[in-house]
Amino acid sequence: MFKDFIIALLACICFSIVFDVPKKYLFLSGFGGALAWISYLICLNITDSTILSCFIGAVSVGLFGEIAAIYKKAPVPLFIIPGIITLVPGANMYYSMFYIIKGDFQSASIQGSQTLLLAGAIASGLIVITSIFKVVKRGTQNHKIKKKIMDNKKVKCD
Amino acid sequence: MDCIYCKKVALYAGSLMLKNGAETFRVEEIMKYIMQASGYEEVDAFVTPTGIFLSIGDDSSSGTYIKRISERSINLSKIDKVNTVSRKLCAGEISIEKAYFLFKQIDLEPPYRLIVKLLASALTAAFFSLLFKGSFPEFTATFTVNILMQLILSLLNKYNISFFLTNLSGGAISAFLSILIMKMGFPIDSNIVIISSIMTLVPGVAITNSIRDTFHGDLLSGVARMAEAVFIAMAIAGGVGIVLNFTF
Repeated sequence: MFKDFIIALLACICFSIVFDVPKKYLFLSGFGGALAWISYLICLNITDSTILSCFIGAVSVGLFGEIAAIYKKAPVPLFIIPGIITLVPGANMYYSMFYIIKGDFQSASIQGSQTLLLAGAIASGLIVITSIFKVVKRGTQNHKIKKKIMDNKKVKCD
Repeated sequence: MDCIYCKKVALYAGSLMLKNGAETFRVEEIMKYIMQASGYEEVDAFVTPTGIFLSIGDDSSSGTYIKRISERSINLSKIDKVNTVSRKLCAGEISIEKAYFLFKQIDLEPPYRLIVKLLASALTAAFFSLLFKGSFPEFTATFTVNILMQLILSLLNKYNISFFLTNLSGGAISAFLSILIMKMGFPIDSNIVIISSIMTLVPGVAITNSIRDTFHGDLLSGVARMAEAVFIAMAIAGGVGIVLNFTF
């Protein structure tokens, strides 16, 4: 498991370089990817369902990305885009093509639908986190505005 | 501040972000903030992945401006830097002239060198072959296949070939080289090598951005980017399929 973590970390750090992530964020964005892969593996061990595991992986990378973005004051995609790569169903896409060429359409349709479902799982995992954080951010903004108004009132009263 | 100048800075910053793969709402917000920081309150921005519309509605100086974006690539570093500069501008730490100067500097900034990018991409693919239960022969084979594929793709990119054809040829080249290496007698599982070397092409950015756009209510951009993701995936699968068809 630890070996997998290191390999995923290195893979994601290299992938961040392909997308020109600044040097100071390389480790963090790689860490997000490694986190996604590890939570995917753990969930796969427990539940034996690739789709649920992919969902959990996407949730963890989304959560990590949003928190890192707030902490570092950087845009969220910086941490999510390199992190999501470990979950993208490239293998299923390849196998569905492979079976189509072989003429085994039953296996091809199984793999093809798996590809779509996994992509959907990633999407919904990210959606959950994005919408939660949208509400949280709006909440804090409202709080700040209220505070500002209150402060202004205080000044006037004085 | 002069309206024409502000609009120029805002459009420049917006197009810089959109060109380098930022989400729609981020581009819109940044252009609005820049205009509002220089005193124009009634500003509306409408951004799609292929163009920017900016409209200023204050009485003295109203107008609508359009900027067409034809080239798009991904450079997350530039997004981060433009974001930082516009934050500073809105906080009043720097003037708008200074911001324009900084934006120009960011635009001219070179990305990582090509050789670094090629090596990084090849290493990504090689590590993926280990994650997909490959071992040392697959690691080296994937490294070679991916670095050759990316080299050919970077040559193709110089001639402004459409993204569909680039991805199609990427899939085809990686499948061809993997099968070639296997046929030459090296003990590798060609499936693992193909899967890992196409991992660097898969449309992760398009998927992520389309989801984020859709959930911010930018349905047009969300659907456009989702279509891009689907087409890229189809192109890669098609490229691999063409080669597999000849070898079986």
